[in-house]
Amino acid sequence: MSEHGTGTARLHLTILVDGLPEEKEYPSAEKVEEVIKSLLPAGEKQNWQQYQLVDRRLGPNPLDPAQSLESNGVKDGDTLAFTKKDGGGGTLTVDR
Amino acid sequence: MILDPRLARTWFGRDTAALLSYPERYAATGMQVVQVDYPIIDMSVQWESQGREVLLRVDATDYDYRPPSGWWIDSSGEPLLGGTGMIPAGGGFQHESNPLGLSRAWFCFPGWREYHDHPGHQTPTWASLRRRAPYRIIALITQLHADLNKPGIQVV
Repeated sequence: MSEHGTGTARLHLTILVDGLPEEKEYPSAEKVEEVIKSLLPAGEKQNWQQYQLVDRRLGPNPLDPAQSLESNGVKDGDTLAFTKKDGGGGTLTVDR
Repeated sequence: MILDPRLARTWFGRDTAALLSYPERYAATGMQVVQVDYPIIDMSVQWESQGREVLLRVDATDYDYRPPSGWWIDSSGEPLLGGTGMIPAGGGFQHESNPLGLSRAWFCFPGWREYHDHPGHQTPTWASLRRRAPYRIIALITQLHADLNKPGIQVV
């Protein structure tokens, strides 16, 4: 059994974690939720819903955490960005 | 200048090394490295809702004693201002004069200099954030790019 699950095909990915590229390997059947949790430190895993993974090759929208990497369309060799969904910016009023 | 520039340059070099070593990785996520030359970083970041890129300038003078400063620029390096239909607004993207009175956009997000210079933001302090990985320069830029592409960001 692998560290991250039991899927057969494995995906070699580059993920920007805290802005730094890290080489990762996951089963293609791994749920994105589990991938997100694997990228978080122990004390932060319970807040996984505050985070997102984006594969720009697939478009600007975050990957669906309820689906697997494969179901989301992630391919071997893709580069993903791992960030918070919201960087905590202040609420603003746009002048018209 | 507050910090010994040799120390600031060392921190800057350490924290920007990946931009120079793996520019293709950043490009794949929609962030093109244009210039990395202490204390300046210029990046062209993809703004998906507008179907184009926008140029980001980061000034890391006194890094990391002070947080980096950032704003949008045009191709000649001049600040891009609101009212031009070229920059984002809302959700932390400020398009009016920055807290120091400079005529340029600024970023109202923890980790950016203008946020911490703003009298309305006494916490969290930069001192409490600056050695945490999510608040180093590259992480701030990556998060800013994600925020640029989140729902609800307008163009002014």
